[in-house]
Amino acid sequence: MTLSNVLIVSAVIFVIGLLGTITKKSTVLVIMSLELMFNAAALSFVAFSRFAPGGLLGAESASRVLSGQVMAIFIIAIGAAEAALALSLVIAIYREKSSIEITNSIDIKEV
Amino acid sequence: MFIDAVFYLVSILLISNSLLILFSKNVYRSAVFLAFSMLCFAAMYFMLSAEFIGVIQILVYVGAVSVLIALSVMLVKDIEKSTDNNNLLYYSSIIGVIFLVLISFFIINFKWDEFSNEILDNSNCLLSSCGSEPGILIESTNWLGKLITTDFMIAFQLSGLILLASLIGALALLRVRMNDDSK
Repeated sequence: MTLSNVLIVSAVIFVIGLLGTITKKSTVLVIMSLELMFNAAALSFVAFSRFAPGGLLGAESASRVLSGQVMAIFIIAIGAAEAALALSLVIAIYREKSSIEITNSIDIKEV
Repeated sequence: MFIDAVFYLVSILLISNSLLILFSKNVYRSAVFLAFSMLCFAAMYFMLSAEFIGVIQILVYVGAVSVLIALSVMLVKDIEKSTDNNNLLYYSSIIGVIFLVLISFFIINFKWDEFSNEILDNSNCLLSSCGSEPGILIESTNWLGKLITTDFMIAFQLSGLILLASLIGALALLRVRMNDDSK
């Protein structure tokens, strides 16, 4: 398990999420693919944090080594907020259109 | 050696679960596969000695976000047609493969050792202690707490603000529509 292996896994997951976001018709599947992309980014942050120089922690190297994990915590917080907001948007679109497909243009100004 | 075997197993599980999200014929199964792939992400975090991030991943994604998504799957009317692709699948697959090849070429050929000359690839030290040194980042939770409340204080408070704003926004989106129904 080296840094390159983890980064390649992260890139593969990111591309899968990107393909799902572009090609899926259902809004729920688009949100799932967005979550995949968020987590792929967080995985690469944690990988850089794990393989940073100075792995044994002291007070001077903690800020340098663990910044990636702090970024992963923030990504998880933003991802949870995004999921809640996007799913409430899905419910609003469903009430307006009685469908959650995103093939047609969606007017959510009055939703 | 053991860590490498577990890493490849978890990677195969992660990529196959992520592909099954896209290619499964049922949206509810896609939600279940999303929960599985989030569990694989948590296992990956544990292997990268980020145990706090792994626990948070299980709590937030497997516990909360998967339940939200599984609830919103109930809004899908036509289960058979719900996993259809639009007509961009061919071109976006080509672009995605090109992107993946380019970024893999960069990752493999970049000299990470020159980037940091004391880079740690001694994965044997991960689970057990090696020599006189304890496992790597053994106190990461302790240091994460100190780091968030000192260096990243403003970002931490701003993320709390973003959570509050998203809660208020979600409630406001649904509340206005319910008032319209009651007229």
